[in-house]
Amino acid sequence: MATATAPRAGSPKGSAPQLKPKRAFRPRTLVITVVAWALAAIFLAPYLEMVITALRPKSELRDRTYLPTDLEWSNFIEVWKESELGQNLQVTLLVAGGATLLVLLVSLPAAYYTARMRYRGRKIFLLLVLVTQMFQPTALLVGLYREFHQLDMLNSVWTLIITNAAFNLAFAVWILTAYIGSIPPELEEAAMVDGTSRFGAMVKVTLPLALPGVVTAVIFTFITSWNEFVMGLTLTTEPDKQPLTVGINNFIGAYTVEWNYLFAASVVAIVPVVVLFAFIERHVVSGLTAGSVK
Amino acid sequence: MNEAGRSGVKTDTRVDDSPPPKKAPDPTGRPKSPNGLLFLLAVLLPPRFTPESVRYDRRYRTLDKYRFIIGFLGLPLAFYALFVISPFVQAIYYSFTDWSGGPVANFIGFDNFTKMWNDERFWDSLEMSIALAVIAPVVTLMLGMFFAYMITSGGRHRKGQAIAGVAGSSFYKVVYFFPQVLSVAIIAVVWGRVLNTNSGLINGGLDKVGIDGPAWLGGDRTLALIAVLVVLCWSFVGFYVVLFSAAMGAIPKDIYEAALLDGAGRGRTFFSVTLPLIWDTVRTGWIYMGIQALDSFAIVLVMVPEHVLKVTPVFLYERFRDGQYGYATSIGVVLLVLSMAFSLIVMRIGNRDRIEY
Repeated sequence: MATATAPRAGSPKGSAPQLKPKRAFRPRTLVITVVAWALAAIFLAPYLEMVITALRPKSELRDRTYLPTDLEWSNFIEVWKESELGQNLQVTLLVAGGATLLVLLVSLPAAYYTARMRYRGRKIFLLLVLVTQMFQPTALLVGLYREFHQLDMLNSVWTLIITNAAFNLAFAVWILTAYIGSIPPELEEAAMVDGTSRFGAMVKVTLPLALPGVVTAVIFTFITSWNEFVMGLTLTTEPDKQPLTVGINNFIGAYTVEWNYLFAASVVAIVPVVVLFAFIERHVVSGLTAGSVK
Repeated sequence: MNEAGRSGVKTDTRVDDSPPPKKAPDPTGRPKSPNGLLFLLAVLLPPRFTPESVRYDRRYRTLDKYRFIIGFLGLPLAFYALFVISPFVQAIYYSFTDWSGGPVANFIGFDNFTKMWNDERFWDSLEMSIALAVIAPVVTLMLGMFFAYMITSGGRHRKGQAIAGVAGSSFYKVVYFFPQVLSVAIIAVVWGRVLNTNSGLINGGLDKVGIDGPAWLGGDRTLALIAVLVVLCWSFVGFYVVLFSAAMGAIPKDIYEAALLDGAGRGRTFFSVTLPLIWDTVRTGWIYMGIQALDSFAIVLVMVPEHVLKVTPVFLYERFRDGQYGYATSIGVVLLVLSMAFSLIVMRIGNRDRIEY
């Protein structure tokens, strides 16, 4: 994206009037723009459909019209009253918040150590982190179920906090290691020469500099835990102990689907994600791939 | 921690006898050998309470280092061992048992695997899973690469530039990437609605142009498979757009300039310059997408009715729901082996000479 600024100042002939006639008609550019917009529209259509269906009156749910005749805002109030949405939202909030905190507490020291020290088994540790990323949750499902069954912790918020934290730890360690590794250790050494302890140097020098990486890791963990589905489905059985993603599926009955309630609940579930994503969007689009591409 | 501290003290007192001369040149003349109790205290208390006499002792420094390691690395490792490695090992163990939820789990050797081998439903589901794992990465990666190439070099050539991105490239990236931050469960319900036979967006659109849309998720396995592929592609393509455009952005501009001078068009530039230079990223993406497709559990479970199409993870989940835990874990082990085999195959196929630039 560095190409966005043209080195126009360097070329003596690059005056605006001369360029204008050339720009007048470029069929290729036009076609590309139209295609790009059409594709973007296709990609956006499902979200629109979700919002529109959430606002459809009951009588128009089976219609093939794209827009309902009027918007039924009370769908949101009704779904809140009629279902366990409130409890589900509470569970999801606790799980996502708890898992994020736990991941941060555990991954930050590990990442700091891995980035700063050359210890025996460092490569193995990083490899372990990568390989476990590849484990599919469905393959671990029964093992985790058994473990929490023995601990008598099924249907507990703690269970979901722990599993979500465990699944997100790898990514957090990975991205934080890359981030802290990019901060020159000389800064810390300078602080230590000035009399700070090693811990103090970490907290007062490195941590503030690594803050963008920390924020990315935190928000990413929060979003993934917020969205987690498989573990919520298998480790909780009582409807009011389930996270939002699992609760939403209770609207899908064997024969009928309450589309408007389903989508009203879905909208509630994605709003926090949209807001958080807006915060890290810039980091994600550039920084998420920082460790993977040279 | 406590244990480590104590054993450390023991070895230290033993070492203490042999090298006293080493301590002699201490310029400040601190007490020569702090006793074991002081050491233990120093290790247990935060660093600021460490007594002066202990702080500069070489043996304390060693202990301090190990304390640092245990505190910083031990916790994550323990966490990992308990909740990722241990379930994994248990899964392998229970795949050889007939555990069905009770206190007893009898070791039954390979019985679960022979049962699976003879299970028609397993093969049906595996067929679908493998179809997804083969097709989804190819389609998704190709689309992702196309979009990424358009975004990074689809714009018109401005003066002095061999390559230019389209206007609003970051907008497109966000649009494509957004499904990545949605829950798969929500993606599945939204697409369930979009693909709905009577009131869905797609059939509504087909209706407008006079085509009677098929029942996408209503019975035909191939149609349902296509639907699942579309959804997988929709939800993952953005990740690859971001990944590939980052990789493409890292290619030096003068290589493109050289290609342009040699008269290469957009297509030629892509196949002869861009693709070989980002091949490592493509291969990694291919493996990741294949594993995701093999594991397309939630989308199929939520979106597709049970009798229409089943993938292996859904088959596993159904056995789990029935309480056949032993059998379910053995399916999980097979899935895991399959994804490893897939990674190895792609590594082998995709192995090319690395190009340095």
